[in-house]
Amino acid sequence: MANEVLRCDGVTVRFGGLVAVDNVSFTIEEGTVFGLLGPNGAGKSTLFNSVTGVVRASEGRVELFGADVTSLPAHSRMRSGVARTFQLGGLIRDFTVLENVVLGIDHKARIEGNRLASVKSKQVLEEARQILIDLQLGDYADYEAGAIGSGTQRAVEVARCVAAGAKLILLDEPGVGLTPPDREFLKNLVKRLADHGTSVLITDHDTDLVLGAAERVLALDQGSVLMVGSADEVKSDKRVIDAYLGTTEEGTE
Amino acid sequence: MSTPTEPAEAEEHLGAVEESRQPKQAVSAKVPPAAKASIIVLGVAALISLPLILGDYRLLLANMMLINGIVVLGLVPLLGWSGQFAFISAAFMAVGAYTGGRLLNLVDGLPLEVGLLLGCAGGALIGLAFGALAVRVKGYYLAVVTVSFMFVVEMVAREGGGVTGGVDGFLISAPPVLVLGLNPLKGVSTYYIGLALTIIVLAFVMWLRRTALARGWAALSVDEHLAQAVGVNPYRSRLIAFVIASSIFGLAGTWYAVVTQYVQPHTFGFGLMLTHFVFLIVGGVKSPIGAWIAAIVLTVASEYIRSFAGISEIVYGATLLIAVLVMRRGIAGIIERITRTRERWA
Repeated sequence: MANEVLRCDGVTVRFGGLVAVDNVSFTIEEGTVFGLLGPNGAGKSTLFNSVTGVVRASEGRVELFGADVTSLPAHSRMRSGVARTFQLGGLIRDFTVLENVVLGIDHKARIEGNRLASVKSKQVLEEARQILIDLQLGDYADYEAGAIGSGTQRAVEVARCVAAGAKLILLDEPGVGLTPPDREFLKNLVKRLADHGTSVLITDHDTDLVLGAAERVLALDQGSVLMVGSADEVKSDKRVIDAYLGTTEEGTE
Repeated sequence: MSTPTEPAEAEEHLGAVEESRQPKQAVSAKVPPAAKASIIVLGVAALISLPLILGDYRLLLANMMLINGIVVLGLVPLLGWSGQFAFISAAFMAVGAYTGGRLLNLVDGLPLEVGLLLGCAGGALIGLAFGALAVRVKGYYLAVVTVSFMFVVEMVAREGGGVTGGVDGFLISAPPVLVLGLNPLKGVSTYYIGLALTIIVLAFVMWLRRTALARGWAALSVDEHLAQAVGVNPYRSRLIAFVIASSIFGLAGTWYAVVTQYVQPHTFGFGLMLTHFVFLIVGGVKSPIGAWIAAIVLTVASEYIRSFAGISEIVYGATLLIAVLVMRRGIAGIIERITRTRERWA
């Protein structure tokens, strides 16, 4: 069996009386793309946040790369080799695209515990530029991040995660506000990451994006697991279709 | 940063890279190295020759101007970069004056360099102790906590009896200087020591901006979650900014004590702290060069404005108001617009 990069074991998150996530368990294996699917309010974001550490699980256990991180703060979890994107505001708008990617290289230095790595600024800049070129974003390197299109911004965030050398990348609703061609680019980008052995967790309410990119998918409904299976299984499952697949792919945000 | 062009069409297709439909305007145009070099040479030459053409009184003003410059260089990382509204500049100048400065006063023959280092270390240590508590709070709360600290420092200085010199404060006579054996209180050498300190602090702060630490602060001031996402420990990162700033203030405070030769508890009060913030805002909170220029220009300007007897406050206030309304990113913003450069973070 391949190594597990992420394991959630009976994760429950309560906000007062509200149970946002109820006893959810799943694992992500190395080098695979795992999708988290669910309509608005299904608990996707809360589950995602309990993995990143933004929200603490009320019950259950979160493991990253085999180590229990349930009680660790967000930055410590990210130092174990995980990187993430944001639905909104995941870049420093005043920074150039290149400098935002350097932020990822700083992250790598923190993961490796090598604090002095970024002192060699020339080398760091070259490395960041190469990553952008590899991801077909090289032409944007010297623009201010706030001045480029939102689809490109999302891709730059992924570039930042790649620069961190992350073994697991968490994508928080990357499709929000993107045009269909941008989503297509993103989908291919995710697949390319997996080809390079990076594991990806992608959450979105765009079923096409999630089912198109992910090999295994967890469908959430009202905080609990509706089903876990391959993309094809989920696509054809009656319960999933009834719960939300039947609606239009645009979602209703 | 020069003003970005209008955001490219929000829904721009990613394939645009190949179609080369890019945002219209490059953000960072490079200043030709020759122009840059000549500006630096001219500036440094002006700063070096300045004391030779000034009289005694104006020389004192020039010394104050350099001290104010050093202080704002400490404020830029703290406020501009790490986004912490910590009003500690005056309080930690007092810490410097009452550690390094006081030791220069008490210990005969203690070299100036040692005194300055002690003041800097005093600022760092007390900054660490107080900051460890203070940076747990943010925004308005941090502002209140730090302003309260300022009053505590003043009270300790006043009530400290023989240790601090009490209400009367203390006098410092010229300490010996190891380098070149200068007399720090003799005419132009005071100025040159101040200039050397300025260059050291400026070089440090400029270097700092291009480290992972400063980029972490930038992420932190956008959103704490963003900083954590790249592995930054928010608390620790804020505390480091706090300690760096308080050591720079400690250094400046010690040097201030030596230059003025006289330290009193109320020297480092609310008014002094406010003028530092005026410099910072007029200069541009994120720009060491902009803020430093503002400190220099406004220190001199406020001296001349003083001659408008009775209406000097109005003139000063109006200048500020105009500066804030017209130059939203301060002097730094204007410099960037003219030279079409932006401050680099890597």
